[in-house]
Amino acid sequence: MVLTIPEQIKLMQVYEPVLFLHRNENFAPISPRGYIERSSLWSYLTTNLPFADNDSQKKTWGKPIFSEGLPRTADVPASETSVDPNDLNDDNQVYLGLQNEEGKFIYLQPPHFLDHQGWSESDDEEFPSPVVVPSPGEVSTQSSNRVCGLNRIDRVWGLPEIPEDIPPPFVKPNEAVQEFVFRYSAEVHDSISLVDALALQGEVQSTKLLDDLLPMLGRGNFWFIFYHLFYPAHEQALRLCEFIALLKKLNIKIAGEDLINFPPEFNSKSLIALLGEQVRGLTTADYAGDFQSICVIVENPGIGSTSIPISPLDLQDNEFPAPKLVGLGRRVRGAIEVQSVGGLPNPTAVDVQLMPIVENPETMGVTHVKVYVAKGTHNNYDSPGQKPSPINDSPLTPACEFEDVDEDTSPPVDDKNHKRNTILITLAKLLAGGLFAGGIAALAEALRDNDPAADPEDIFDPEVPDEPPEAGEFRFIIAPESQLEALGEQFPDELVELRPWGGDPLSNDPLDPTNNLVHTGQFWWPSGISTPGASWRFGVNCLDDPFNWRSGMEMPDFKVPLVKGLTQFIAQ
Amino acid sequence: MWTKILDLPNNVIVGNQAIDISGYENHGNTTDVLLRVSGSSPSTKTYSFNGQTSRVFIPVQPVWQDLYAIRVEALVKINDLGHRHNIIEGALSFALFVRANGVVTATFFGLEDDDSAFTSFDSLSASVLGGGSIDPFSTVTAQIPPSILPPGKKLAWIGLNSSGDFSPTGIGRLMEPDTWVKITYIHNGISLWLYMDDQLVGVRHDIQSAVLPVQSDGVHLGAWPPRNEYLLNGELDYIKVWKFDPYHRYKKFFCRPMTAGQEACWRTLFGQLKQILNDPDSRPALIKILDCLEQAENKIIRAIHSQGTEAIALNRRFSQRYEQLWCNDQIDSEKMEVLIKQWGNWLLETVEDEFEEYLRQTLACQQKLAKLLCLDDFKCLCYSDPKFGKFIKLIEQCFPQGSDYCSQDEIVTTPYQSQ
Repeated sequence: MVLTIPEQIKLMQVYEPVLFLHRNENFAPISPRGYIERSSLWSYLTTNLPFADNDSQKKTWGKPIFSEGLPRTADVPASETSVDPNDLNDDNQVYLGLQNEEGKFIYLQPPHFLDHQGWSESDDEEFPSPVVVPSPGEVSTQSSNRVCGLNRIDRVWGLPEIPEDIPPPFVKPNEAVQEFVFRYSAEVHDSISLVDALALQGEVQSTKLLDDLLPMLGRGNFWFIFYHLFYPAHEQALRLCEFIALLKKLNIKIAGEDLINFPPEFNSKSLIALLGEQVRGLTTADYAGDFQSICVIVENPGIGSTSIPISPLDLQDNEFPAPKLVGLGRRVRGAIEVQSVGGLPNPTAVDVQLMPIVENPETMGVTHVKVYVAKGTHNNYDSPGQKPSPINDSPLTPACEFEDVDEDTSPPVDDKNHKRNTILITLAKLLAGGLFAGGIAALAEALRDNDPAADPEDIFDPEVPDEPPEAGEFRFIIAPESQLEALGEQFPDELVELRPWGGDPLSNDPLDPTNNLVHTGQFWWPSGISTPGASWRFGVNCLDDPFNWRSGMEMPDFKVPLVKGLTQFIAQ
Repeated sequence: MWTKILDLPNNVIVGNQAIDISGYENHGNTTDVLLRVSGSSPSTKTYSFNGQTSRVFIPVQPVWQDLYAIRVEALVKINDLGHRHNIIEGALSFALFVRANGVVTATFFGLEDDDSAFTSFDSLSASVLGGGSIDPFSTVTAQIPPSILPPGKKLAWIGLNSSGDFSPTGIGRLMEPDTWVKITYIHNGISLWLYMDDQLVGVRHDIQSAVLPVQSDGVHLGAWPPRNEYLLNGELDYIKVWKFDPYHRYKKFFCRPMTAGQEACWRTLFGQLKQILNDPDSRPALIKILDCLEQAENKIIRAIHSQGTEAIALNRRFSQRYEQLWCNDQIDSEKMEVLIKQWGNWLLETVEDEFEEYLRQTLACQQKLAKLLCLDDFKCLCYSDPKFGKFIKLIEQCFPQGSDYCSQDEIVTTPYQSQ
């Protein structure tokens, strides 16, 4: 039996998580509705045009301001976007859920992206560009459109600075959006509806796996409460190796002299000073619109001592069991997946969604799972303190090591392309060290590499830290109202600010802005949650982004990663 | 040098799927395979194969292409002798099985010289495309369409076994019914290795071919891919498969702590080399050099490995120490100097001829290379990584006899020397 809306709301409320944000975190989760209403809508072509030809790409975005070509403007400007069907007849508003006579959603059909605060062209206050720059939302021959306007997003949605800092010039978050901050969007399933949802998405393998896994998790039915957490922006620095891979892909050469003068520390300021405007915006993996999710998994206690599912409405608050498991959403962007197309390798940059499972997670007040959010990346962890980034948790090739493969370099039957790649290390050592020393240095690597009894699990991937807050680094703790008092006693530090989850927990109107529950009546969710569903990117498209690090993303699917996480959990 | 692509642990079948936890989603579809609580230890379960209809089928995915090298590790028990038990087979790629007499056999499908006589038996192998592995040590041959093969090469199942013919000691080992044995099969690109319970039972160093990609019939556990033959009557506690990781040496190289400038210089250097490799005009020349270096490297590795398990173990201790010092950025330390001296002297004592040949051949390769590249491109190393220069100097001090291997005009100037 599928859960009713009141049942979903009850579960959503009872299992609200406690979220610990880092002291230097700039953003808290917000309601996507408030973000969409303040964004303009652009259409674009998905065709992969050559990366160098930025103007041709831009000419597919939105509509021309004049008769054709550049400059361009949004299909629907931010001042006119509306998600409220009551605006259907308002001449000044465009209801994005508009359907044509055949029932098709006009604004959801071609690929779209949401432009929230435009691109960063000149708002790097610390290190402004010396050249005349276009305005933030501009798409013209002069605009670079390389990276989202993070500073402006921060002015609207950013968390207030800590008190000891210089008072900021803006009220943060902006008063107009405060009702949308500290919000989650809950998607609630029981075992049956989750299997059905996966089947509807056409996920055959995951549907079957979940169906088979459920009896292994426990005797009865389960509740799966996804808390989708939407942050206005994601902040992450590229690793140096990723930056170099990007320059290579974009054919931007670092000359020998530049390498000699390369700064010891990797940061955008010194790199722009050294390499010029051509690398402005390329050193980050920031993007607008960042979806994450956690999934609280609870075993339905059953009626009496049976395994017949009980309705959550028939349970007193103190009768709800503790969560058995929690899935913690994490993401790696820009991993390289090589598929074979027409017999030739076709490498594509993909986003990898991960949802590792933790058993018997730590809670407050029995039901509220504690989740620690990594600074900027918003990856979720079950304990405080630095963790290795999930970069190494994906089996896909990291962009750092990626090399373009074309017809000339695809290996024939007995080619040893892969091995040749490793011999390049030998070659480099020879070049650097000369015959004797270089040869011996290279031999040392080779001897170690080919040792048959060496541990095959040797891992040399450098650890890149993800930074959930340490115990003394909490700033905002977002929690259910019922837990605030206990948290206040636990964290008397005046720098720690306690906030209740926003929105009206009892609202079940899909179009009520205070509603926190995901409804099928909300057209802006992707198909799989809502039907037919939007497929827009939640942040601006960015140029010179072959590894998909800076362009906004579609709301990812979290159900398949959950099944993968559960599979690994059971097997391990 | 490995990346794990299959890891079926010993405790779970979900529905009819054996769950792979390698991260590559190589879950296996099971047919008549049961989980039994009778593993190699009381707490473990096993996959039980009935010898009549059981198999686990893993559909082929891109990860099974570009294998180059492969490593298989399995904990296996057979119930009887008298027929072949397939443990794992990738269609027209690699196979591991137990012969009717208990001899463990490991093979791969690759290229060999038309006139080669690799095996210790008089029967060479071949297979029909679309078929399964053939025991290279039985007298079976078949014709392969010649058009897809390089001239002078043929496709064949090439292997080794535990009969004693490939054993360094000449002593073989057989599988016995109802006995758990950990089997490790390694094709590392230049040699084949077979271990039973971590004891080396077979090795050969004459391998010329990479492991070919698994074909569309996929990977099968406990059965022959084409038909219900060679079925395993026994149990698998766990099985793991690794393939060659082309990025391993890079990762290891960059385990050394570096500043951004240092790393940028090295990565740009590697990037330039790769660009030359990807450029259709310069590619053939660089491939020749790389293959020349690989040959030199392979010869000395084979020579060391042919010295036996004690030499391999001693070499491992040296290389582990080297790795430790490298990753801790102690490359110009006294400890590194001591290590280089000890290791170098040991190499000179153990494989002197091959070591000298390695140096000569490397020089020959490097001469070709000097014409392809501009050394100025690597000057950044002198500024950003002076420690590496000291490391090089340290090696030169440890090997003063190095200059005997070439005349002065042959020596290629390094960026450090040109300063």
